[in-house]
Amino acid sequence: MITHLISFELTLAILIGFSVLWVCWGWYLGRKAKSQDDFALAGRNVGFALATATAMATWVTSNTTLVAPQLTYQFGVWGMLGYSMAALGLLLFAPLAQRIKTILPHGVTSGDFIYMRFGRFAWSVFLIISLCYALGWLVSLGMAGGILLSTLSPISYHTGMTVIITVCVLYTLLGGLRAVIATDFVQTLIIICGVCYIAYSALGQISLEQVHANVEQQQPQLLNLLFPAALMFFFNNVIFGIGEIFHSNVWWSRALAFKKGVGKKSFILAAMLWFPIPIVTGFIALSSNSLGIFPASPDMIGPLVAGELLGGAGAVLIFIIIFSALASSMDSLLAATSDLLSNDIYKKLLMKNASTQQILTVNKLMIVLLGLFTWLMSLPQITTLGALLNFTGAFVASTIWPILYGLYGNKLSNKGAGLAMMLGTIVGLIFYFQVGFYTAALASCFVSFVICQYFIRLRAIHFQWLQLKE
Amino acid sequence: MSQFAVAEQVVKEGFITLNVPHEQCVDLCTHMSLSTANKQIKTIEVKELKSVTISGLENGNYQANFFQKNSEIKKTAITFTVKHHAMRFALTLFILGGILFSTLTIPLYKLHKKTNKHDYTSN
Repeated sequence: MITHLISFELTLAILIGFSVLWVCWGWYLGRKAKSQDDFALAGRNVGFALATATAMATWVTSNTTLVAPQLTYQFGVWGMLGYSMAALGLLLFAPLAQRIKTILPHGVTSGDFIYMRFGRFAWSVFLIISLCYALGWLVSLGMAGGILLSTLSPISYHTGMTVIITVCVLYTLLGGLRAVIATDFVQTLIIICGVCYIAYSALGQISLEQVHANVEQQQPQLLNLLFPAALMFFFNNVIFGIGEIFHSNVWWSRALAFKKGVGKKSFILAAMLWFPIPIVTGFIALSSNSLGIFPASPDMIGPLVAGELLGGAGAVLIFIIIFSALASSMDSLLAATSDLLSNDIYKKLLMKNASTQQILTVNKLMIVLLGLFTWLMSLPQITTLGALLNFTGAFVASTIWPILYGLYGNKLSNKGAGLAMMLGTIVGLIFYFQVGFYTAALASCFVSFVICQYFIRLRAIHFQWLQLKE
Repeated sequence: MSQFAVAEQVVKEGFITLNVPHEQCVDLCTHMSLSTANKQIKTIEVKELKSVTISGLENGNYQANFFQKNSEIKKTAITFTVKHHAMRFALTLFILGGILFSTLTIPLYKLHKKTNKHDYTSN
């Protein structure tokens, strides 16, 4: 068992160093943001390099660095491949990003589109789904921070989680989306270089033949291509990833913030850059048996194995990579969810005549409240990261079809979209609790598809696209 | 026939997290040995861990013995059964997933090409 690979003093120094760097940079970049467009959408003028980096860095998160090894440890080869297939979410969002920018040149959130295209019922269901997902993801990120620090250093889960949430709230608050995107760029460079180094070092230290022989003998199901739960997990994860990206304001806000013509290319490149990362982070989990590592919780396996393979210096590298990955996702999510709350709930429901300044103030308040909520919900470690994330799969997978048919077709009605999302989510949750977390998204997506087909074929409407013109 | 007649838990995914019963060992449990009815699978060091996760297990009845090395007088056993989901059910969901994925990607590609040529919004 490997514990406390990084000393308390060194952990503190890294934490303070990176925290000060991100917060100061956030303040520097955000000091000129005066309007909501500046703060929430970075002036709608993000170029190709930054766009690609932010798309990739946001998708490299605790999911990729902690959950990919967890799922490989639990589901073996299928788990590793299934996780990397989440890149398909980014790839399929590429054409959607172009479409979103074309039909909503002045839109702010994904909720804007659902409200205008479908109406209030579908919009209400969508908002509930979107908020449940955002909060689930935020809590998983908070938990991941705590798990990371408590695995590699003497710092407790609660302290680690508190520090990481506080830092992310501070720099998102100071800089808005502009700071989020700029820090994402640097964080992407750190993540890519770090992961390449780990892969290189690990391959030099592990005998692949020995790993294979050990897994075959002691964890045979991990290499079995007919491993039942893993078979179910594979497409479930593909669909979960697509649902996450298609519906979430994290991605819509990026599509709207990128310069015209940039979105499609940057999402395709980000998907290609992202694809191998879960394979590298997942692969190392397969060597745990050979190294005699059996984690207390499956979501700790990644840092434990990497720390064992690479020693103290490697543990520092892992810490920096995961800290960067966590920060790059948490800031994006805080920014996008606060936009959704201030624009869709405050402006549409509570203060229809709110000024830009009032919305901006509410936006910042929401970032703080979301941070507080995340902290409170992360205090008890209710489940593993993988199980928590897949809980949100039941919600998001139900939105795939309404968004696709909403963006490209004119036949799906408000009632059809709302019911598809609502019933899809309910069935997904039933599967989550009755069968397993690895079936929730699949069940949700299937039910949503059937309902959408029913309404498109038997209760079609003819939506006038001119209604979307703002 | 298994020698572990009563299984406390049934696991359908081949992985399980076991709480280490330190209070039931002499001082602390330092090791865990995992075995099935027919063979010993592995012995692992648990030291101060509160729980331990094992994965990749095939169908069968398992027993995890927790003990302190050099003092094997007092052992604590946890039994569990691994019974994977039925293959037919798993393959049905796998194929359903494949169909849903194809149903999503093919129309998306076609619709995208179509809207690139003729933008709905201009109608």
